[in-house]
Amino acid sequence: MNSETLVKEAIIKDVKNIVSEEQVVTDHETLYDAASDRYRKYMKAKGVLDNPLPTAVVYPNNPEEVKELLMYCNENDINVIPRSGQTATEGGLENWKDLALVIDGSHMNKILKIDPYNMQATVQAGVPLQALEDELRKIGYTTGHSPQSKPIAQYGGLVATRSIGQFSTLYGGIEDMVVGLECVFPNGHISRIKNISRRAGGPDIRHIVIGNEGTLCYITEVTVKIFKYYPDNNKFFGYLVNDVEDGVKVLREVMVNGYRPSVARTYSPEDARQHFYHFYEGKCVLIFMAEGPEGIVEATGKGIEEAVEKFKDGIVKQVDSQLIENWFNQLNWTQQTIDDEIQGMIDNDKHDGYTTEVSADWETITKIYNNVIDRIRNEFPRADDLTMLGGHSSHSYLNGTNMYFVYNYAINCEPEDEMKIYHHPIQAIIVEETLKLGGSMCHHHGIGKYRNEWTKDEHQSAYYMLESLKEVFDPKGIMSFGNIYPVQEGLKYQK
Amino acid sequence: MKIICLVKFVPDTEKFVYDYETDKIDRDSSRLILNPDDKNALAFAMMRKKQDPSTYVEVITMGPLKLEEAMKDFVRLGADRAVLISDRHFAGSDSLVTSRIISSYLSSQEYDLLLTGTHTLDGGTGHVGPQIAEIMGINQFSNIVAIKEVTKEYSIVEALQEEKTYRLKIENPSVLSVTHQMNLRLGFVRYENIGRNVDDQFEVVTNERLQLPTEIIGGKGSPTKVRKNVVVKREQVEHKVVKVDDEGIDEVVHFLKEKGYL
Amino acid sequence: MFKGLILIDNDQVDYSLDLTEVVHRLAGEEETFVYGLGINLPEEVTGLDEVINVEMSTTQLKDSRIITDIIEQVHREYQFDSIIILATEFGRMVAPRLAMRLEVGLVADITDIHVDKRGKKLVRPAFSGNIMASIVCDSSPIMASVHPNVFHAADLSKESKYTRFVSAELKASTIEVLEIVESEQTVADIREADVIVSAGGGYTQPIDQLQDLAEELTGVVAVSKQLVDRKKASREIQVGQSGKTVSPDLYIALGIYGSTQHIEGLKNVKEIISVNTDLGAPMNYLASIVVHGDAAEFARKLSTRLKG
Repeated sequence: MNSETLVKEAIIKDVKNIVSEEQVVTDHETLYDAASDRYRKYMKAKGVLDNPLPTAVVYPNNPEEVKELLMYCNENDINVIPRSGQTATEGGLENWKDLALVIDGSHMNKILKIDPYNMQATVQAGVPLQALEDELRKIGYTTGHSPQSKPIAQYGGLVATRSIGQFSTLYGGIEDMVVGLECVFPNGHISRIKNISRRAGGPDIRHIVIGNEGTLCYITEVTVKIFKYYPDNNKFFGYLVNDVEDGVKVLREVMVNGYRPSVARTYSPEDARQHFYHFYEGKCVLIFMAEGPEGIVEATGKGIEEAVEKFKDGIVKQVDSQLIENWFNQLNWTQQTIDDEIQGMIDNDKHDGYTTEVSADWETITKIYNNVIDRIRNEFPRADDLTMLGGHSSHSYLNGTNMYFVYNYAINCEPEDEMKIYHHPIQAIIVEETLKLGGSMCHHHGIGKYRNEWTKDEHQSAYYMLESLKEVFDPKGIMSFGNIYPVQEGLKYQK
Repeated sequence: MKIICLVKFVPDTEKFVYDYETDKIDRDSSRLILNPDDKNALAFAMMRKKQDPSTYVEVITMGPLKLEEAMKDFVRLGADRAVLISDRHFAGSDSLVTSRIISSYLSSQEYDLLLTGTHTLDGGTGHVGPQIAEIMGINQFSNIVAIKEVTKEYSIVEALQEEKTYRLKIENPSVLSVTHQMNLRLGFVRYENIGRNVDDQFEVVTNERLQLPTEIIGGKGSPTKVRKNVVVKREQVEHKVVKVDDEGIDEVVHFLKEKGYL
Repeated sequence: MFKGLILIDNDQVDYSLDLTEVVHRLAGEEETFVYGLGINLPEEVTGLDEVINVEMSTTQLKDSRIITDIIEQVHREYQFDSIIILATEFGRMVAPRLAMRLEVGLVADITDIHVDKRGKKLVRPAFSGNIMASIVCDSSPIMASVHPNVFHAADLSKESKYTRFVSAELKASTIEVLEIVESEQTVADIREADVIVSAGGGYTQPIDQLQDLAEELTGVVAVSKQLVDRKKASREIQVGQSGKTVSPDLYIALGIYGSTQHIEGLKNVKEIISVNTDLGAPMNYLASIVVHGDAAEFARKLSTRLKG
């Protein structure tokens, strides 16, 4: 037995003294699965991950156990990877340290309180979003939060990544929904931020936690707003548009005029092909959904129609609303979707593609889109292997929108080389073009590990504030090593 | 043991542009890819070499100079040598002449086994394997789906012919034409090997070296000549579109009855 | 007199005899005399002017070198103007060898012949069937290989003259057949079917579920290359350039995209019904009815309707 194994054995023994034995999992399959997330999905499926496996996966039952574990790791320089639903897509859950504990919050899965009068619900970090949503629907309410990972994602991760859902244009992102929370810091300190509708008690400290991607603390409990649900009033709108720019113009018109559809999206043709092959006719697709009380839905619908009318020169035709509704109903992942993709990767040497999603203001976003597509087609050495390249705008604001680039390619290389040959060069182009024009390189997927080489460029002089938080809350750097803050050890995986 | 693999690069006939307005095909829009049957031939040779590193693997192709990098990649993948037979005088050669040219190079080489593919993606004739075997005076077999054993003296293979599997013992040297049903993986050049200099293991063989009289090579020497190419028009037939619902099924049943299939 | 030789494949005598049509077409205006070369012919054949039968030990039947030797000997004696060989897997080993032996051109997989004052043009598909190339042969004998079921002889009633050919001393074969394993399934030959229910990549259920539907229509089940590649069905029932050429009256394409390689396998099909979730699938362009939806669902619904 070498010294590394001895140390690992010792750690596992210690951890089993902090929590019960059943809460500690160390079999190889679990550890291999825990070593990486959906970012390096192809390498993982092919069984050739080259980063270290974590030492163990631990399932604490309550915040006190989380506290003990964090303090232990902090004392002993063991990397901590907070984890809940495992739907991370940017390497946020990947392990880059020889000694690491994945602390999985799934056992802390109680819905603590649903309070329709005060429009709040309190859950432990391990509660799947779908579980809360199902409970709320029973009483005619909704979380309003619907990322594609909804059936599987849990609240800890949803808050830690500053996630956003398909209906955000009406309900907002997670940051608009979080009322209060509880989290544990590496030094063992447990902070409870109480539930209050608004206050001016100094800077809003919730925002240190929301989006920290596990780099500063471990989230154990969240209280979110809940909304009344009016499914019968849902209205869908679909149009075929000449190009992305026209689609974005209509989106802007709707937003700046003061309307808030729950969904407002425009898809480039190649992206549209994946979703709407049966009616896209080679064009861009523009979709809207209006939701809420009847009066609001009607008014929103009118606002959408007016905006479409104003830009009718760019509109090719209207699409049957039923098609849009049907599409929405099958949009979300299930565990089956993920398992199917994994099997496909094992059998057929291909995957479902990647995304890099950015944001910018209205006048910049289309420029970024065009620059990116041009550069990729002309500069990317393996452009001939591309089987899909496009994007869609899916989250709009008064003052701008996002662009969700999608791309897929024939994987003409060994699985170990896929990232370096395909995904990273494409991602680099997207990030560079976005940052060049002042946009943000990470609208809602977080920085994770694989965009950390641009974190400083993303924040520039404000990086000082982010950096300082890390120095204070995680001085030993044990929390989610590699997330957000660039590290030397990561270069071998990125380049 | 020395194995020579004869490969062909063919247009990727899945990816090309058909212009419905002009009824033309842009053949340049389809890239050249390694023919799948030939890929399996090469994969077998590489696999052999992995098992027995003393195996010498040479890869040959006849084609345009732009195939240089692709041929060098075979060396980067592990082949000992890659040869690109190319000369503007060879242009327009049909399969008879191609076989002659390649055989002319082969006659200066020693080998125990010549591996190649049976069918080509672009519906090619598949003649070259048998014709080279004829010139070299050796055995040849097509549609091989498995190579069980290879020695300097013989090869034991399984070949599919009209729904029967033949297990054969073939005296070597021989030409074995395999199919992609062998399902062997060739793999890709690793990231760190991309663009590695392999010049000393690669050669372009021109007619200057082979010294074949011009009357017997190229279009001139080819008994078969292409006189005309006609793009197959894709007719856009008027048709009815229905859904998979009761109405649609009704329409289909009605159609079937009307046409007398029911 | 235009003398043509066709090679008779013992396992496909009927398709071999169809090759007489090729000789007639090649001859153009000239009168023809069609010979058939058989090796250990199992039965009497009609339709040819003369049958040349060679007897030899069976152990040499799978050696293309030996077969080539025999045909060469026969040709040296008879001096044919054209030699036509069925493009079976073995035929495709023999034809090129023979062409090289005689140092003549060989045109493979011809689908049509045009003869006029300017010469004889053999047409074959190229670029995966998207281009039809017209080829001329300036050597003699004109050699061509032909897929079964592409040409059809109108009249095969002629009584043939029989000649026994004794070959000169043949070299010993250096190919030994160790074992022959027959394919287990006995499936109806899809080339004979008038109605075909064909499943492609878009058909997601087990293929045997289509048996009922095929029977209701007195047809057979076939598949595209995709399903054979995915090991869902055997190549025996594969339609396409690397499978079989079929000429049914009705072809129901279930979830078939319609690549040219697939269409290559369709000759003189009268009606096509294409079921596909992709309205833009090229297959749809050939169809009289396009069913827009899931192929498995359609098959199930149609089957239920036809039974009930």
